[in-house]
Amino acid sequence: MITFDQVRFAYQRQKTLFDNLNLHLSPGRIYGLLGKNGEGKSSLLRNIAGLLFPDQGEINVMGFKPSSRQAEFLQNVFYIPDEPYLPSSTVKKFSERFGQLYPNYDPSEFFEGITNLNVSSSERLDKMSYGQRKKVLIAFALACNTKVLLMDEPTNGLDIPSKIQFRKLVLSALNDEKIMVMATHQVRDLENIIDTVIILNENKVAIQTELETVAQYLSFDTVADIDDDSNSVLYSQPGPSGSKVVTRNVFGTETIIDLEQFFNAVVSSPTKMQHIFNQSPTGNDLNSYI
Amino acid sequence: MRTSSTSYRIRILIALDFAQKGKNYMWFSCLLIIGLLAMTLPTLYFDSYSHQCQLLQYAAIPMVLIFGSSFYSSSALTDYAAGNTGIFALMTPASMAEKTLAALLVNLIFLVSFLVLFWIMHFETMRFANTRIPASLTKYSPVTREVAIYLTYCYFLFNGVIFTGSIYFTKSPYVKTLICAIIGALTLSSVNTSFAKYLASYPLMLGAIPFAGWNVVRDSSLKVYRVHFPDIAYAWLYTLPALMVFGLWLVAYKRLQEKQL
Repeated sequence: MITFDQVRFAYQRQKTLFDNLNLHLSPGRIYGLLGKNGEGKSSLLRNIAGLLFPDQGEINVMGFKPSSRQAEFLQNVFYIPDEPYLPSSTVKKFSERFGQLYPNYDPSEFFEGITNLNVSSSERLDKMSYGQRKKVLIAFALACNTKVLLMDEPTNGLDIPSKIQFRKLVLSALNDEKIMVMATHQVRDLENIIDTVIILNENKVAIQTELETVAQYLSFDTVADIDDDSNSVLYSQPGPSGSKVVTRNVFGTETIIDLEQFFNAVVSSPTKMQHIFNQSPTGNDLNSYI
Repeated sequence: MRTSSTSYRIRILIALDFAQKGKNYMWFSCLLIIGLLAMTLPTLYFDSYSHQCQLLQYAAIPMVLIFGSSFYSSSALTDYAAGNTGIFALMTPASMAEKTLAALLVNLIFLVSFLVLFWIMHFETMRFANTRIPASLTKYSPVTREVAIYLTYCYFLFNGVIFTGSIYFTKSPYVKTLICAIIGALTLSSVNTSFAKYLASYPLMLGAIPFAGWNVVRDSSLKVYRVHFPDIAYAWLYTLPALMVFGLWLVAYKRLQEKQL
């Protein structure tokens, strides 16, 4: 379990990024962390990983205070940054050397992962492209079987077949004890694997909700014309085959969630969306606020 | 879940360090050993005293002090200092104390070995050369025991500064630390000398180096007065530099603990 209690965070000599942030992430879920550039997605992940320290408030990750960076904490948290670094060795040696530090590391899972992601185990890590390095780190992170897995833009640099494999690997690695948090701009890459979405907007958590709830409250459709006076349209985006619209799901119809449209709807009218999802800035049990 | 102990993790971290930087360590070692041998072995080739060989033996001291104490340490904690390398290193599953200790142990393995080798070469080459020189002729004179202890302390102090600098400076840590160390040493020396001159009522000449006694020349008779520390101060003179070295290691550890990326 990950909890943020009244957390305040700011970079030195810069404006406050989070203030009074409360957040509650439960095991057995894959969280999608969405937000525009500079909203603090990476900073939030780094606070969880213990790479950045909050100025005020408490962060608790599986009973550990991340800023203490205890060995037992680091054995249970894996953070994949947007720009991954890997030491200079072969894939095989990397697995042998670094796997020993993770108590639940499973080398066979790692090699299966890199095979699925089309990386050879005899290749040298320092000669690899950005995408290949990312594949190796993703496979390694999943094989470490840590309770918390934090990924910053995990699909950046992955080719299309690898994105499909990535989704399969992530879903097969999830169990009731694990929490996965993925910060991304590439919402379409993660549409089918995220079960809870956290949207950061104007340095606040605008919405934290399960995708089931999104489907319950909202409809996603493409229409030829939009009635200007229509109050039911929460967000619309014109396209070549008509306008993509987000409306309230008044009749309880099932539609496929378009995460990109949902994100745009939240960012363009956060208050209206919070009202729909019964989330107000004063907070409730679902809510997390800055 | 398999568990791991502190000693297990430190062993792995040391093994990882050698795997990552082993080649660099080998090159540094070769360079320093070749330099050391080139400056100490010529003493053995002459059957009589050679002033040049004696000078070479003494010239090896600053080389050991500056390069021997710093080559290995300059990159000791740089992996944790910045960027993606820093993130990878900080997220490696071991506590900050274990990471500092592993880096320090690797550092000390080279540091102590090289210093021991240097003193063996310094004393033994001159001792062996002196056995071949007739008693009536000038012989080689190695540094005294006190000077050797003083230099050993300086060696570890300088190393402590470089070790700490490797986590403080994110770019060009070696050059920046070296500059800071030289400026610091010069400042300390100047302040020490100025203070000694003030206490000695501004004599004609005065030689004072930190943690050592004074040589005072009061007037044109050029008689040198040696001012030693009181006996009680000697315990402090041996303890204080050691405490400073431990202090520097502690600063490096604290800095690693507070590192945010």
